[in-house]
Amino acid sequence: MMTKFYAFLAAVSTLVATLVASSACWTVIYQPEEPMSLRD
Amino acid sequence: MENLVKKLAHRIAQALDYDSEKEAVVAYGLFAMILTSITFLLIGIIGIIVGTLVESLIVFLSVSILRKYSGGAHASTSERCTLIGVVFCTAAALLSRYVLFPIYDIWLMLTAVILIYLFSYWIIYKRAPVDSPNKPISDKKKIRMKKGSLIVLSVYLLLSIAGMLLGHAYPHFKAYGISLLFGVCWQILTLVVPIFKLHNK
Repeated sequence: MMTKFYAFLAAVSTLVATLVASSACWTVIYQPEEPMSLRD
Repeated sequence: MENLVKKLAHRIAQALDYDSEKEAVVAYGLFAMILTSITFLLIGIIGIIVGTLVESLIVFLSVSILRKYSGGAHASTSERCTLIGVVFCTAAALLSRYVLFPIYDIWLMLTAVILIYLFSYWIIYKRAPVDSPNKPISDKKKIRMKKGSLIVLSVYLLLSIAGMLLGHAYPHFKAYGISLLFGVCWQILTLVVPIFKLHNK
């Protein structure tokens, strides 16, 4: 059950990370280090 | 907050047997969701309490959408980011609704719109997008982001004009228009780094 929840959370987080990576920066005024695999 | 998110991402990575890079991506996405949601919720809740929900959300959304393309200065910690965001959006909304709306004058508003948008177009042309060491932007992407910034700013200009025109029939649109201007001003000023005490990380 927890594994399925984690898998769902991982999928959603990865999708959000990909969407955020396509923009100039985050929509709030904080920018943590972007993972290398998401960089241009 | 960042440490908590990293711990959760690590737990997820262990359960799903992810490598360190995938874990970093999960942490990045989780953090983006949580930070944006918390900021949005706080702004919304405080907006409801002080009676400026719509104005607060207009300021927040106008900054966020333009920021997506133009980048800008950043706070040094996520907590500081949330605090600054909530304080600014609420203050701008309160000023719009309770100070500037009662003394609204169409000619003053038109002057403000002209001056602010002229300055904004100039700053975006000269400086956008502003990247950071944590998220560098390639030259090719910079051209796309600059175009996006100019398009978004143009949409905001149309909305500001619409707010002025509709303000006569629907008075609340005057306050919404002022809120939008606050959002534009804030985001443009974050492109001019020396003016702020925010750390450009």
